[in-house]
Amino acid sequence: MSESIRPRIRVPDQAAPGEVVEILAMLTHPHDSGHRTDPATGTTIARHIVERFTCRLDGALVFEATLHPAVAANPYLAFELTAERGGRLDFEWIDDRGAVFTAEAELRVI
Amino acid sequence: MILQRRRFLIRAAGAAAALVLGGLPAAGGSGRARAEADAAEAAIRAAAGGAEIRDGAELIALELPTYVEDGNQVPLAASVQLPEGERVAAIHLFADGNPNPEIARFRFGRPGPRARVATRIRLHRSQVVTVLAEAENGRVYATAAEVEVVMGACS
Repeated sequence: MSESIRPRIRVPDQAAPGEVVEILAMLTHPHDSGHRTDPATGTTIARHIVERFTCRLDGALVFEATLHPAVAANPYLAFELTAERGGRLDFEWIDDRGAVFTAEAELRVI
Repeated sequence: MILQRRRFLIRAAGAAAALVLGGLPAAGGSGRARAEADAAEAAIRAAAGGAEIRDGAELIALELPTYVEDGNQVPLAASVQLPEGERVAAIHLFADGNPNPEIARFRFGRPGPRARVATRIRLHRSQVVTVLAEAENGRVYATAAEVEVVMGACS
């Protein structure tokens, strides 16, 4: 159900120059490992995972994740960013069926 | 407290230092457990790309519970603080006792002396989790921790 897949992000309202801030990014996605069996049918649930996540600040890559089936459902990522300057944060998730999910936020550095 | 199964032994002599599976056999000592541990070691070596794997116990803080009820959602955080002049380019996570050893790889677009990443992982049974930090200068550091899992992630 791709309509139930949606991103959630948390970025601090503002940061001081040079401050280390934590960015949270989660996608409500089954991230099915392909190792699980459907108890109702006895068949294997097809692999459906988020393969790649990127976070860019004004287009420049700040963080990138390559995920395997061993990442839990609803992949959650928290990472640190040194707020040297503000700008637009673009978040992107790509799953193994080619679906792309995006979110954006403004990082204000004052 | 469970004994740590995986140890990083840096060979004092020789050009290439090695990451060695040490101590005790995996729980149950089954062929599958051994095969998974071997696969994990191969994956760790591949990630290191031929670089010497240095003991990162003093540089990497791996936050992982020692005991979890549910292997489907295990919180993990890795904080890396490299020696002066070195910058963290990537962090890799590996599972010794899962069907596939790779968990995730994180790359930092603006490498700095410290990095921290947190996520939630799946563990199929009690096992050792390894974190490998890759410095921009090509140096590689690793540390590991053991987790007891009561109910493994669905298989």
